[in-house]
Amino acid sequence: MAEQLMKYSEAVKKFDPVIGLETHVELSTNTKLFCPAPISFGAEPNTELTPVSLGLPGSLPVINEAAVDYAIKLGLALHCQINEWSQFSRKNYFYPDMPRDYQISQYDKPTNGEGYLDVELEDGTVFRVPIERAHIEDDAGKNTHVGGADGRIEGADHSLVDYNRAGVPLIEIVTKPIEGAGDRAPEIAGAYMRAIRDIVRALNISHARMEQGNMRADVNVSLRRDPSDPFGTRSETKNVNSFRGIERTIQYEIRRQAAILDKGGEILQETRHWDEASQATAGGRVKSDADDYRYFPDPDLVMLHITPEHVDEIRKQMPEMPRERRNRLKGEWNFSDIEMRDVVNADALDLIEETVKLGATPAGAKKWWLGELSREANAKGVALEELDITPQAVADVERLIADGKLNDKLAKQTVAFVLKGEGTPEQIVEAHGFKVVSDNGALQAAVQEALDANPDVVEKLKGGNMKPMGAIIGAVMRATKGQADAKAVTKIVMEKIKG
Amino acid sequence: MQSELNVIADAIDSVQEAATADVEPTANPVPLETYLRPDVPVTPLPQSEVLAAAPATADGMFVAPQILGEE
Amino acid sequence: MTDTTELVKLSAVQMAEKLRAKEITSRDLVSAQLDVIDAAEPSIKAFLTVSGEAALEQADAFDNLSDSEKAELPELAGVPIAIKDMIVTKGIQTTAASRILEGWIPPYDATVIEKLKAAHMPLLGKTNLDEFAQGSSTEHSAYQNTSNPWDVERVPGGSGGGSAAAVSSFEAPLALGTDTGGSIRQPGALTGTVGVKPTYGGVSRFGAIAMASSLDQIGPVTRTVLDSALLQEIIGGHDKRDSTSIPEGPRPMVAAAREGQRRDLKGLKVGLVKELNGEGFQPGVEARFHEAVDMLTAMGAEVVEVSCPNFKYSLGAYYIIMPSEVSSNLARYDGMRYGLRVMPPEDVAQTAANMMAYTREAGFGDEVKRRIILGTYALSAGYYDAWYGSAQKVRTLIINDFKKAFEQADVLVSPTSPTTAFKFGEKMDDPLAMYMNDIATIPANLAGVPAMSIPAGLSDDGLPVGFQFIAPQQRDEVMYKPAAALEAALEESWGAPIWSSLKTPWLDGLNK
Repeated sequence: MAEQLMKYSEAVKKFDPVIGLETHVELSTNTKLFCPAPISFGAEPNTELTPVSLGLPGSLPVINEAAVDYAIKLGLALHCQINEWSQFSRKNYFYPDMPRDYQISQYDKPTNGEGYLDVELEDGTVFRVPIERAHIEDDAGKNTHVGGADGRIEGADHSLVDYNRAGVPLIEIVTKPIEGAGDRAPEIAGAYMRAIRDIVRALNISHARMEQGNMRADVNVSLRRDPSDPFGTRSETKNVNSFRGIERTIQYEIRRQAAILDKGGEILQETRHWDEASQATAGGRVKSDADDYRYFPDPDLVMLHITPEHVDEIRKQMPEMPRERRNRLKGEWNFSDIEMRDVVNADALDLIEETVKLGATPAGAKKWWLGELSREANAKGVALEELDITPQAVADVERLIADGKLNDKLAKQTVAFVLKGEGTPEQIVEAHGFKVVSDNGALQAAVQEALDANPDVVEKLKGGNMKPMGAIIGAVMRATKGQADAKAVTKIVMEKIKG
Repeated sequence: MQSELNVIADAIDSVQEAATADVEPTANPVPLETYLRPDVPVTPLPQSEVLAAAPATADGMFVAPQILGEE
Repeated sequence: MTDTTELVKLSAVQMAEKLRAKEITSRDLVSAQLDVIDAAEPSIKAFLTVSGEAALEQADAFDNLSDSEKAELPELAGVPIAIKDMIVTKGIQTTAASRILEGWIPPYDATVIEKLKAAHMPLLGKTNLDEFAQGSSTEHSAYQNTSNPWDVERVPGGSGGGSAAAVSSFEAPLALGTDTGGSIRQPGALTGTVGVKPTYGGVSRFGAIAMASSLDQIGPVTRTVLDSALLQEIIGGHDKRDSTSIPEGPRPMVAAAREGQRRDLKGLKVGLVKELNGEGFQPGVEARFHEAVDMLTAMGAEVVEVSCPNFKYSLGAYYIIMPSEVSSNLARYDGMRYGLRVMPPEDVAQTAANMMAYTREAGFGDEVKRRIILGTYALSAGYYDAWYGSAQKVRTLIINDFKKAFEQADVLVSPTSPTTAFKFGEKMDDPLAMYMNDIATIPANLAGVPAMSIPAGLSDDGLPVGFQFIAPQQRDEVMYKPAAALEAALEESWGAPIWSSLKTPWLDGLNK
């Protein structure tokens, strides 16, 4: 079963990879593309359907205005030609999850034509990915395979079909063949997908959660000996739904195809799928002439007319694009390249920006979101933004620290209580009686007590050995239930020793 | 059935002679621009009505026989 | 109280007058029609489903309205109607006369049904048709043959033979049909009734089971021109659930029909379409047609001959576009969500793909399969440009022919069908002969223009002949005026409506 693979470094030395990505982005409209059925995540099966999305006889599609506007926004972000006249066509094929047994998509007249996207790589290099089109289409339902192992299609005895997803609007972004990527092909694909994710989030047109299937990609890979050769036969790996999966798919396909070609073999034009468990692509269906979708203009839908005036109106509402925004914030926050990359990779940009807007310093906000809170999110296996803490709460904690009302230790405890849902930082400070003990008599007494209890430490401190200072601070902290300010304690100790 | 199809095929072959390159195709006879629907949800069909006519159901879903191969 | 036989022979307008005069109730009308249906069905077989109970309830609901509430309703309120079983009715079985939809109870109403219900018009039941409206004789119904009331050995035309026979035999005063290539007008011609195909987009298709989406149109089936006008104004108008619906209200058709009844056609230019008569038309059909044209002249119309040279390609274009759209529209009948499911025999793999194939093999009749195969072929990658692409170009040429013709004439005329009603089985083995039935009706569907058929008298064989009017797009009222005028003039020359010549043994003994 195991396929022959060539070492990656050797493969990219011997061959020039050409990749292509077909990215499906599920739009976050309130209703479906062709009917006003509601869309939500996790609804009971088959409860979000009208006669149209169930494909009942006699039902007819009517286009959702928001879906078209979302498509235009994405088209503008990808520098696409927005076509004044576009058309929906029927893509005919039988499959149990397709209520009409044809998909309504755009064929020769897509809403968004040619464009490009500049993506920034780890080292700051900018690579331009050419876009062929970004068209609108509707999604199919979902099959659950029963009777086989792990819900896999192989060996399943029957399937259960939930049509809730049928009719959800998708935009399929199709790149042109991406040439000149060389050994960085996987990295470029990953960076491109992340850039698309950031853009659709900035535009607020999709939840863009790959793990929930809001975004998925078909990955095409072919090899040729020399960049001047014609394109080689490509494989198409369907429905890859993680950034790492996409990078690994490309790596794997380059190694697999290189091994075959190196031995004088031929690449099959086939669809494959990425198997996360084995970290490999597996062969699927060989493409043949029988795959004829018999596209024709959907006679139930007349031409879609998008006026230049309407496009201008949407252009005026376009938010700042993620790359520009990152560069601007990096300057404003005075972060280094590496710091900024960490922020972006942690998906903390929005959260930090919001926290800073609410009064925190950029460094303070970053410290919380990338430190304590990232660890918490990782431990829980959730996204940072899904934690039970808001930028407001983080900004409040920072303000309490700045005002000297919390020290580091108490601040961490406060944040922990916020995460447990105990209320706002102020409420928690109040409820737990958190108070930084700094220059009052109680602190003086506590320090004296600690010094009296540790005469050996006092000797060392007097002798200029500052190492045991921690022991005194620890004792004071215990005595004050953590409310002492470490700096204040140190100051008092030094006074007492010198005095 | 094949011979019947041939008869019809002969009758429609003539269409190609008329369809010269300078003629624009017509998809819909009445020239209209599409009407766009506001993005406002309606109450969907209840699950019981969705499934009422299904040949086979289980757990609120439609039952399909064994599916070979993903699209 | 009026006798049942007298009552059911009234036009819908006359029934409505009696309702308003409180001489009868809607329940009286529905009961009388149900009695006629009981008596006629053994020989006519126009209905696939009779929804008598529901119709009586709807009648009572109308009868219980106050006078002021009734005054708000359209003129035909309270008058019952039959529905072609190609139109979706909530809670009433809808089959398209196919085994594949046997037993399907839709969870929603077509837009036209909602409008009829809002107008308080009781639904008598669902009428027979060729399976999925594919045919010209109603013999392709999976359930039964409908007889022509003028000669029960003969077909009522098709696909809407059930609606036409129901109206012709007095089982219903009104019916709805669907017309893709002549399925309202040709049965109208063959049964001596009025049948109208409105402008494409004039009546919502939402809830009309799709045959060929760019050609299908719902329209009235009645015994008089005025009844059709009243019915079309009720069912017409913009519908936001149909993207091909014209964003305007119905045209002033009732006013045009009433004006036509004055029989003054001075200033009207009538265009005789050269390509739509002559060769291939039965002599009796030709004779009645020309007599009628003379009558139009006598009423002051100016008759000119117009030529539409590209009409000769219309049959070919139709038999590419129609099956192409059919092949896609009928894909959804796959045994998954509703209707028939047939599992493969035990020695065949029990897969979803095989289930779909066996379901469709068992559920569709030969004519439907023939068109699906033809359409699948016409849309396939290597043939698309030569077939579907060419047919769409021919469509443009035909639209241009109509435009030019309407520069010379206000309304175009032709015989509706080349022949009168033929015998059962006569054309079943000769698809091309069957397809020739629609030669005069197809151009209007390809161009989306409105057209109607009215009775022009009886041919030498004693069977009805249809006379077709065609008007420009979105100008449906233009054909109603001369149609109503011709109807009035013909009835005067005959001394009675055409149906006075119809023998109705099923009505004998109905009056108690």
